[in-house]
This record gives sequence, C-alpha cells and structure tokens, in this order.
Amino acid sequence: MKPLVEVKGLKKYFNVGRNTVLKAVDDLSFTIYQGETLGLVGESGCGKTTCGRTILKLYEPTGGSIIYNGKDMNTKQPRSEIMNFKKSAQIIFQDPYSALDPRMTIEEIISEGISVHYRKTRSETAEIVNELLTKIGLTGDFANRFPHELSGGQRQRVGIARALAVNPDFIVCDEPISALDVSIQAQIVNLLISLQKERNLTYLFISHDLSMVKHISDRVGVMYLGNLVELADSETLFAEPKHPYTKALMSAILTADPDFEKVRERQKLQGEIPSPINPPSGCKFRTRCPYADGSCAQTVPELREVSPGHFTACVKE
Amino acid sequence: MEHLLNVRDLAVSFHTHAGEVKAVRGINFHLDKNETLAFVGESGCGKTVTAKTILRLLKPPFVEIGAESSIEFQGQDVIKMSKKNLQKYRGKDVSMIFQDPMTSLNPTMTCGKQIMESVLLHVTKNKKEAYDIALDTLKMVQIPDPEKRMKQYPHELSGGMRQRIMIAIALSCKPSILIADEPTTALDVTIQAQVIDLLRELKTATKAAVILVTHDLGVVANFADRIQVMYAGKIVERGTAQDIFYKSRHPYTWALLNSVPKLAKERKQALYSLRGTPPDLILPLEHCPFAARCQYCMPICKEVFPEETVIDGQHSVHCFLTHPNAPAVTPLYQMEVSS
Amino acid sequence: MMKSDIPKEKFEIIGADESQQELIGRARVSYMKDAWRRLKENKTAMAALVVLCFLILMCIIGPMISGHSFEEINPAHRNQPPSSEHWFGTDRLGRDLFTRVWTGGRVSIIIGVSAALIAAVVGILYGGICAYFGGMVDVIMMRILEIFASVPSLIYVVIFSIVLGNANLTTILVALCVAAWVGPARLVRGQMLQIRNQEFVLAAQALGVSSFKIILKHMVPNTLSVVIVAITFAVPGFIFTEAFLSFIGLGVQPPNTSWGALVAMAQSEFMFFPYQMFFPAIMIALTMLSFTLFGDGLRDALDPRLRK
Repeated sequence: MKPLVEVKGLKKYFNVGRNTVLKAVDDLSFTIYQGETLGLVGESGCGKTTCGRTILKLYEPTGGSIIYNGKDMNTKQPRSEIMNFKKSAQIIFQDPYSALDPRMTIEEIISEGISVHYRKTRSETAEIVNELLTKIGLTGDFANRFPHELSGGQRQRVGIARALAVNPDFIVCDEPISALDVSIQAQIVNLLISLQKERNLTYLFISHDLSMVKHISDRVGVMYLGNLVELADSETLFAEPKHPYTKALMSAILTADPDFEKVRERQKLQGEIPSPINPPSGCKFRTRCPYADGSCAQTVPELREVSPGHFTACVKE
Repeated sequence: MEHLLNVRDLAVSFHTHAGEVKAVRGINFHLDKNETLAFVGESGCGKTVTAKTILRLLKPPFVEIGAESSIEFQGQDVIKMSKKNLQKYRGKDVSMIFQDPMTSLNPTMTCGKQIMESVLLHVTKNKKEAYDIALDTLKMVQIPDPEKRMKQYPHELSGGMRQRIMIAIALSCKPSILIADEPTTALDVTIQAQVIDLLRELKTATKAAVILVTHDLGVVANFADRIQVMYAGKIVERGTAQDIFYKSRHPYTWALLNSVPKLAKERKQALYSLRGTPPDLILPLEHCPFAARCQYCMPICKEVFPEETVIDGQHSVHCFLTHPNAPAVTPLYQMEVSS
Repeated sequence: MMKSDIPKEKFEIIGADESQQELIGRARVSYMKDAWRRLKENKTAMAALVVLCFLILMCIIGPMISGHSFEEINPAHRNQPPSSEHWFGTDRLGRDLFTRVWTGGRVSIIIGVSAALIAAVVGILYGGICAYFGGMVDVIMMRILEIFASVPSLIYVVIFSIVLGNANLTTILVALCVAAWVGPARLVRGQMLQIRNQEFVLAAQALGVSSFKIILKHMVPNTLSVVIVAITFAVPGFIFTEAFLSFIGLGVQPPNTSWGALVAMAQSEFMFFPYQMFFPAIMIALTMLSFTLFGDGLRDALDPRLRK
C-alpha cells in the first residue's frame, strides 16, 4: 500500500499565558495509507482534534513534518503546491451548527471551494451543487435554504458535500457524528463509508466513540495526552489491546446489552486525564495506570512494534 | 400499590411565532419507589420536556401544560401546587442533575456553598450542621479530598468532578426522586463509566427512585429497570430492560437498537439507518408519528394513532403490527440474548 | 384493546414514504426577515422608528413648506413668538425658525449618520485586520489604537476643528471621526476573534479561500449585525458632539446652521424668548432618544441567541 500522509515527529504547542506552553500534540508519528481509514480515539484534551487540524495546516505545526503525497508540506512550498494540497485534503467538522456560515445559502456554502479551485460558470456550479445534494441524500430544493432551516444531520451532510465539492483524496473527519442523534449517526457513517468506496477516499476518522471508530476504521490509533499509545489493525486492537489505557477505554464502553453489562467485569480507571500544560514525567499515563511503578516515571516509552503492524508505547509490554 | 409518582395525560406545548409546538402529546406513566425509569429517544422527542415538567421548571406564558394533565406526587397534584409547596417539592422531594455541569453550577460560588444552599433551605437552618451534611454528601459521591473541594470554585475542577458536585447538590436533601437529564453525555468515556457506576451505587444506598433521560442506549442498558421509548412527544413502547432490549416490538425501537454498531459485528457494513428526520412538532400528527420513516408502514398507520397493546406484564407498545390482522414480520434485529 | 373492525387491506405493508423523508423543517425564514419580525413586535422600537422617519421627512420637506428661506433676514419680524406666519417664531434677525430648525436638522442628522458610518467602516477594516492576522500585527495595531483612545476624543475634535479652520461639513466630519473609529474597531476585533475560531472559517481556510475573501465573505457579514447596532447607538453621540461644537462656535458657520448652532444662538435670548431654544433642543433630544431606543430594539432583534 502506498502511503498518502506521513506524519513524522509532529508537534503543536500553544502558548497559554506567560511562560506556559500547552503541548497539545507532542512528537506524534504515523502513516495513513491510500484508501484506508485510520481511526484516532482518545478522551477530550488528548490532542486528536489538534492533530487533525495541524495535518491540514489549519494550525501551523511547532515541529516535525507532514509529508503529503511525497511532498513535505511543512517546508516552504510553491503556491500551486499549497493550493493542490488544499484541494486534495479536506475536513468535516464536529459541530454542524458552527461549521456552516449562518449568512450563506447552502448553494453558496457548497460552491465556495469550487470557485477557488475550478473555473466554472454559474450554471455549471449550480449543476455540481445539485449533483452533490442528491449524492448526500438531499434534494435540489435545499440549494437556496439557509443552514438554520436544516436539521443537525442535514447540516452535517452539507458539511460533507462542501468537502466533496473540490474532489479531495483525503478527508479528516473530526468527530463528525458526536453531536448527532443515534439514528442520524448511522446515516452519516453509512454515507461516509459509501463515499469512500465510490471515490477511493482516505479518511482520518477522529472520534471518542470507540464502537463507531471500530466500525469504520481499518486501523486505529489511541491517543493519550498528545501521544499515540497504541496503533494497530482495528480487529487486532479490539481483540488484543496491549496498552493499559486502551484496555481501560475498551472496558469503559457501555454496550446496549443489559445481560452482558450485568456480568462483565469493568476495569475502572482512577482519576481523570491530567492537564496537558503540566503532564506527568516519563509515561504520561502512569498517574492512572494500575500497573505503573517507579520505572514508568523515568523513561518516556517509545512506540514499538510488538507484532506485525501492532505498535504500543508501554515499557511493560 | 400506591405509585410514588403518577403522571396522567401529560401534554406540554410551546408557543412560538410559527405556531404551537406540541412537544409532549398526552403521555401516561408512573414511577415506583426504588426503581430507575429511563426515557429514551432522540433530541426533540419530548423526553427532557417531560422531565422538566415533573419539576415544573418550564414557565408560562411560552409553555402551556394541557388542561387534563396531572402529575400526582404523594397525593398532591404538582401542576396545581402553590408556590410555597413547589419550593419544598423541588430540591427536597425531587431534584435534578443536568447535562452540562459547567453551566449548571454557579461560577462565583464555592462548591461547598452551593451544596449547603439547598440544605439550608430544606433541611436545617444551622450552618454548622449544613456544612456537615454537605461534607457527608461529598464523601458519598466519592470525591477525593472532600474538605478541599468544599472551598473550591467549579472552574478549578475537572468535568467529572463537577458532575459529582452536581450529583451531591441533588442528593444533599435526600430526595425521593432524582431526575438525571443526560447525566453522562458531556463526559469522556472513562469518566462516563465512573459516573454511571456511582449513580448505581448511590441509588442503592439512598433508595431514591431515578428518572433517567438519555439518548445513549449503553447508559440505559447499564442503569434502567424500566424503559419508555419516546418518539415525537409520545411513548411508543415501554417495558422492562429485558423487554426493550431483547423482545422489543416497535419498529422505532428496532431502529434505535440497530443503529449502534456492535463490537462483534463485521466492519464497514452499512449500519441500519433510518432515513429522514423526526416530524415537525408543529404538525397535528393524528396518526402514528413514525409512519413516514417506518419500513413496515401500513395504510392504517397514516390514519390513526394505534392504541396501547399490552404484550405481557409491563411490556406494552403502540403499533399496528401487533394487531391481529397485521401481517407477521420478523423484527429487523434483536439483541442476541448473550449467554 | 384495539378495534378489530378495521378492514384487512389497511394492513398491507407499504413501507416508508420516500418522498417524505427529507423534509425541510419550517417555512423558509431568512435571517433578515426573522429579525424584522422581532423588531416589529417591539413597540418602543417601532415608535422610535416612526419618530425618526417623521424627523427625517420633515428635514427633507420642512424648509420647503414654510414659504421662507432659512437665510432670509426680515428686520421687521425679529424675535416673534410662534404664529400662523412663523410656526416656530423668528430669531433675533427675523429669520423663520421653522425653516431654520429643519435646515439645521439636515446638517445635524447628516453629520451624525455619516460620522457613525465612517467610524464603523474604518473600525471594521482596522478591527478586522487585527483579528484576522493576530500575532504581532494585532499587538502593534492595538497599541496604536490604545494611544488614540487614551486622549479624550473631544480634545481631538476641538484641536482638529481649530487646525482645519473654516468649518464646513467635511472638516467637522474629519474632526469627529479622528478618534471615533476606536470604539467600533475594538468591538469588531472582539467579535471577529470569536468568529475566527468558528469552524466555518476553518473550513474556508481548508478549502484554500484567500484571507481577503474570508474576511469579506465570512467575517464581515457575521459582524454586521453588531456593527449596525453600534452605528445606531453612535449616531446620537455624534449629533450631540456636533451640537456641542456648534455651541462653542467651532461648528457650522452662519448663515448655515445646525441644531447645536440654533441652541447657541438662542442662548443669549433665552430669558426673553425661550421658544427659540425650545424647538432645536427638543429636536436634539427627540432624535437622540429615538436612535437609542431604536438601537436597543435592533440589538434584540438581531441577536442570534434569540432566534427561535
């Protein structure tokens, strides 16, 4: 498989107040292959959203490199190359309310990218918008509507159409279903899967919903406080999680199965995620880890391959 | 047996410029001591409105409670309650936990003061005693360093901790009913599990009845004794957790259960998904509100709303598929009863 | 139990209704229409709007209907009280006050509205650039703004009026606007900083839309409602400042006039002919009050949080 996005040692720090730095993403490396879906899970504040946005250069990276299609996007690139990247890599947001400009019609929203990257006449653009609306399961009647007239699920689909309008190869799906109702979540996920099959799209699917991530992803990475703690094939990760944090996350999933829930042993995590401004030394998970001992405070664990394609960052493994 | 709470013909509507939005359309239910009753449904189905109406939190003139509606609590009709009784009823008899702990706590008051506030109002006038009660409640919700938390402000605490403070405030006066409106939705996965476990333990310890309002079937499966599924302001199916999860009879319940991916299921298979969106509640909807999205829709479904059919025991459903003349259908999917 | 007399053919599965599935919720209500509806419901604001329209209309036609010119000196009719000939009376040079009040109103309202507009446009540009580029650009531009803001604006106005001398509409406008953009600029910057973090702006950036277009197409339209309200609130301030300038003799020069100039003129005769001051003063008060009340209503109407 051909790598499409290679993230190497990516860092994104935010200055918060005087002399305090929030390390949202700290030395992150992974590869996304053409046509696959890489899932990224973690709790709030683990840096998964920052990671997605930094890959798309919506945030300027503090360090590291993002190699897209063989070109390092974190070095100076000619304008045409940057525009190609913007055309090829798109994003879908979590909040279907703030993701659409309330003052624009649906047609204006969807066609915004077309006018940047393609030379089209007005009627051609309208035609494309109409096709896209049909593709996402809406009708042409929606073109002249405003976002506030649409339901959450409909808005999210408009967000998808806006990303699709420029014919991207790679889409960062930043918690695209978290704000939606259960039955609508299924609509959106189905739409994403069928679009992927049809257009050979590559997804980075960011979510905190493990069961949804497992459902849609080929490989899954687990993030904790700005680092990847485990990365493996979706099936493998869920069948044999190696990292204690991954195990705890899986055990925290509440399934819709009362009988199973009654008998299952839940591994409870103590405490909450520490502040990324002042993270623990060594392994950042050690403060909540049931297996932690003195050695965990000393060394920062590296992401190592424990079996083919299965990486984990734990010194105990 | 006398029910703790008995709700009859509850109808709630909102007056908007576009017309009257009928959020809750005549529902009946009861709540018994020491049980957890869950309201499940998607946003806009009326579950939160129902919960808030039980506490009379929605105020006229924009909100109107139907003339025939009654909410009976210990022989008193909550809808007709005087202001004074209502004050005692809220907080002392029935209390509520909200979804977002950040916006429901007062940022300018210490957590201790906020817990003591309702204790001082309902339980004791003595500040020292109130402090002790508040501290005990904090210990009960298993907050580390309760003495320290008493003096802290909400913004100094993490999301999970704030939700525990909320729970402590709600439980401080030992209410007989606790209403939990999406208590875990704003929390992270690992914290969610902690809070649910805590709520379960507290329910056993305090013997309070709980009304759980949520869209999360995982939470319901872990916590609820009885479940009522709501759609467009109506209860479409109700029963014990066993009935709803393993023997459900309503197509909407099937759809809800099916749209959650199963961990054991094949990846990238299309999930079962309902098309379309719930109906606009401004419409009169004399027929089954689910008819337009239901794959088993029959002509009769578009004419009248089906009456309640009792399946067995507590399990009942509003659906014409249970009518003797209706064709037999295999449910879309039932949760397999796991061994 | 259910009625069993329902005919069998009613129980034939026809499936979900495909045509009904993607319904567009409510009837289409555009943002402005919705705001207008809310404004109409606000009785105070509507009354203020009616008063404003009346004042503006009178400023347009008032000088024409009295049959007197505002410069026409009539020594025979000095200091006359209101009568059927001179509806608001005459001043000490025998000029018709009715005509002069509405002529002066033109100047006052034009100055008030255009100064507010100019201040708002400059403010939008300045605040917009600060907010969008952020970082050092923002820091430097905000420090410059603070220097401007640290001197009381009346001092600018007075100094500029003296330096530019020969007061006419343009020089007064320049004097008024020198420091007046500071408020709108701060307001716009704050508003835009919020919008900049909204996901639709990020989406536009991801699509490769240029910075200029993002400001123009996303940021400005979304700050507009706040700016419109700010303009409405600023107008009475400018009318008052102009009145003040004219009152101390730095404003409009005779024979041209404004409400402030009329009040200044009437001041010396106030003990004997109070009506000379009464009419221009009531106009200033009415205009300022109406603009403020209307602005209040407008703010409520445009507030997206109130949308239902």
